[in-house]
Amino acid sequence: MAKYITKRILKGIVTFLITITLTFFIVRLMPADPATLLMDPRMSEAHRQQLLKDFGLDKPLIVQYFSFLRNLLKGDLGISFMQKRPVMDIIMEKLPWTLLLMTITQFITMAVGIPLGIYSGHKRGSLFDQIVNAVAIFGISIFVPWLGFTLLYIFGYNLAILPIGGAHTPGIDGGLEYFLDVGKHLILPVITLMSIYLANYVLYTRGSVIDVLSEDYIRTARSKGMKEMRVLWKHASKNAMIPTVTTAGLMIGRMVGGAVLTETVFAYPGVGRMIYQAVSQQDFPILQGAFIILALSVIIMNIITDILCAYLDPRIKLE
Amino acid sequence: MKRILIIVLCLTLILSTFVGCSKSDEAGANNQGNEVKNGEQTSESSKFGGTITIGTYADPDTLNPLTGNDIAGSWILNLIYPKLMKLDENGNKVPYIIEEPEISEDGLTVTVTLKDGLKWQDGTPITSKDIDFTYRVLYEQKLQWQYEVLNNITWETPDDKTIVFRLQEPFPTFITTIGYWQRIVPAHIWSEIDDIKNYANENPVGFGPFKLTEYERGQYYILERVDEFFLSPEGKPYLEKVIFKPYPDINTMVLALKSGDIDVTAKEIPATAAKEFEGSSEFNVVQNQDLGYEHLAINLRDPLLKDVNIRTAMAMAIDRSQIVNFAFDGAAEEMPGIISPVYQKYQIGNYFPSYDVEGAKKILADAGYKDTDNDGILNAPNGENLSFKVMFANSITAHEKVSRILVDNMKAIGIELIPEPMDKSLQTDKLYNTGDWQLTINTWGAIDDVESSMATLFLSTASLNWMGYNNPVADDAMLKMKSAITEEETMNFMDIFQKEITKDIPDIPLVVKKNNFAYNNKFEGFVKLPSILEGIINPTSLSQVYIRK
Repeated sequence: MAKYITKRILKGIVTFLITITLTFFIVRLMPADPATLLMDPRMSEAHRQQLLKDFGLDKPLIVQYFSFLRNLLKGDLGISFMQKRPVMDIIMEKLPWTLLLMTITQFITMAVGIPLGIYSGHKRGSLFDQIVNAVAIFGISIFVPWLGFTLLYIFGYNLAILPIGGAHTPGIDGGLEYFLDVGKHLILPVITLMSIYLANYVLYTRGSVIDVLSEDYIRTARSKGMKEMRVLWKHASKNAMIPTVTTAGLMIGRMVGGAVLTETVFAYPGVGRMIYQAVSQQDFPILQGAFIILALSVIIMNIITDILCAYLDPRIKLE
Repeated sequence: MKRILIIVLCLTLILSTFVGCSKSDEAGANNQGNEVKNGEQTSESSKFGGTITIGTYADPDTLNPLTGNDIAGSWILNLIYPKLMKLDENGNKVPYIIEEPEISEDGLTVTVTLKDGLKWQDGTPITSKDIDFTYRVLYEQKLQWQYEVLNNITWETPDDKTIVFRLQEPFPTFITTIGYWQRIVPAHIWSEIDDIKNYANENPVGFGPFKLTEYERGQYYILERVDEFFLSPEGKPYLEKVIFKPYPDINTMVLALKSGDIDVTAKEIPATAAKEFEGSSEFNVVQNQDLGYEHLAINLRDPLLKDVNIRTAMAMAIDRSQIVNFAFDGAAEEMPGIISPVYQKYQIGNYFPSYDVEGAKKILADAGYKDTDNDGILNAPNGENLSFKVMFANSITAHEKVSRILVDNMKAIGIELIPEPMDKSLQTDKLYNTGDWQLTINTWGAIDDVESSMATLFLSTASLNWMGYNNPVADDAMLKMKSAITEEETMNFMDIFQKEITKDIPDIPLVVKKNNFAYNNKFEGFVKLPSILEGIINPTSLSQVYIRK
């Protein structure tokens, strides 16, 4: 086991190095540069060159790359071109909001999606199964900003029971009131994000329940005279969970994609919105920082799920 | 089974908190409403009191007034840091914290005197030393484009209220340009800062109708009024608080305005939304003019486009009224010359050829362009089709609509246009770096001080002259226009310049955009200034806005 874990972690480190290298060069492959994007009718060529120098973009790419690596080793993600503040500070300001949004979304999505998937796998072909399938596929194909805006229009404007955007109301700090205020601001973004991920959980779980239900040990359980519900929830669901757990780890990366759109529509102060703005300004340090944090979380999640799966299913280790 | 029970339990718990909070927060929202109403009650005897919440599109890039470079930032920073000059309702630069500047007869000395009794928000008087310090730092550290305005200019501060600039050659728009674009910072605070360029300025101390008291990036910026502000009719601003809230999605911002989450937008709203607000009894809509304009620039290095006959025919084929009505929903003004109609003084009858399809066809026919292969597109003598790619940024919906109108317009005279939507950074790259383009639809954000700014756009050596325009007569006129002292001289060179450029047509101005701003009509007293930079959210305006009784 120890050998497997060491191997897995080493692999993770290599993946991380490749990712940050790719990130560094990909952001620089964008056409134009942050200084040119700032050009306006009053700016001269000399000032553009000055800006490039300030951003450190006048040096050869390879020099920039090594100084980026050097700083990264020191834990320094650099200074944002536009905001002139350390990227670490900026990310740390946004990350808690995104984590809050994602954790709650993940949790509710799993809590709703897995039982739904198990039950509709069990009732395969029934009306219930068909409805769940249709709703899940509708959710996956819906255009996120449209859904977000429609929800805002209905609950924020028409019914006026939920706030229009933001993460909390200015002036309310601390205490239960703050907690409830934050919760109220979370409802619509969470529902919107859920629409994208619910289908994954439902369909994965449903699929593996269907597979598992045809296994021999299920037949054994049934032949022992066990009640059908107990067979389903106790014997089948546990084994059917393995692929679902694996996807949960991978979902982190995909969630950020949804967060970019959701946080923008809901004016939510998270990492997604920060990435959106940094792309349009070509703020390389912020983009690099954001992708490093993302890569790191996906890699760590993967290592954890791999180890977890190896623990659950001894066959994996042997391969 | 136990695990599932736990999950279900957690789910119920979470859901119950959410239901709980929607109730209690409804009460919260009501409380807020009461606060506003209380404000109104206390202001029964006067206009004082209340809060205004303003929607913007983003956070300020930085709170550092010396390096801040975006519009979202300028709305906030201009309320808390002063400039020597400000804009008036007609787009003229007028004194803000100074008296009318005195320019010597030879145009080489500019004397600026500060208004009496102005103090920074920490109580220290504002002096000419602050201006001296700010301009010195700007120039030495090349903080912003405007440092170049100070090239070859020296200055001294004979006393605390006066600063005298000495120029090597006349530059009449010197003080309006630097005065309007450069914010002043208190020297006693900023001289202590080591790295001004990378200074975040988390706790700004400045001068203006409001001061920044609390903020959370991505969420809100709360400003409170100062006790004394000279532009306010009754000595200090009526509103107690100003709150800025960023909404990156314009539709969400419009919805927030409709629902009362915000009271006014600093950013312009789409014409369709403006129409909806106009029909409502709760809102007022005002419209201002942009200082820049929308234009079709032409790459003069292109073998076909370098023929002035093609450019003239293209200029004659464009139906600007269609662009106004369909691309901008009526919120724009046709632009017949090279100087925006905002600047009335320079509308002296030198216009680009006007809309005339038959005339355009004749010019092309006379120049030898015929449809030799009967494909509906004219051919050059060498057989090449008159077919051009027109690029535009795919994020700008209006430009996409303009491109479609231009395709139709050009088709009518036998020229094929191929629209090429692309990312703004790719378009920028083609214009500034690779030069691989034929036609482009663009916007100039703000063209002010046209006497000097034409040279930054059209001078043969200017970096923004991507068209590759090179006309020595026009060059000479642009440079002389910049340094002309008398009105007569300026007009003379302006006339020469306009005649040359409308003859050569390196660039076809299309329309000047009008921006719509909507506000809840319980507020009154907004002052509307031109350009998207100012709109109705500027120090002059907010120092006199109040809540109607």
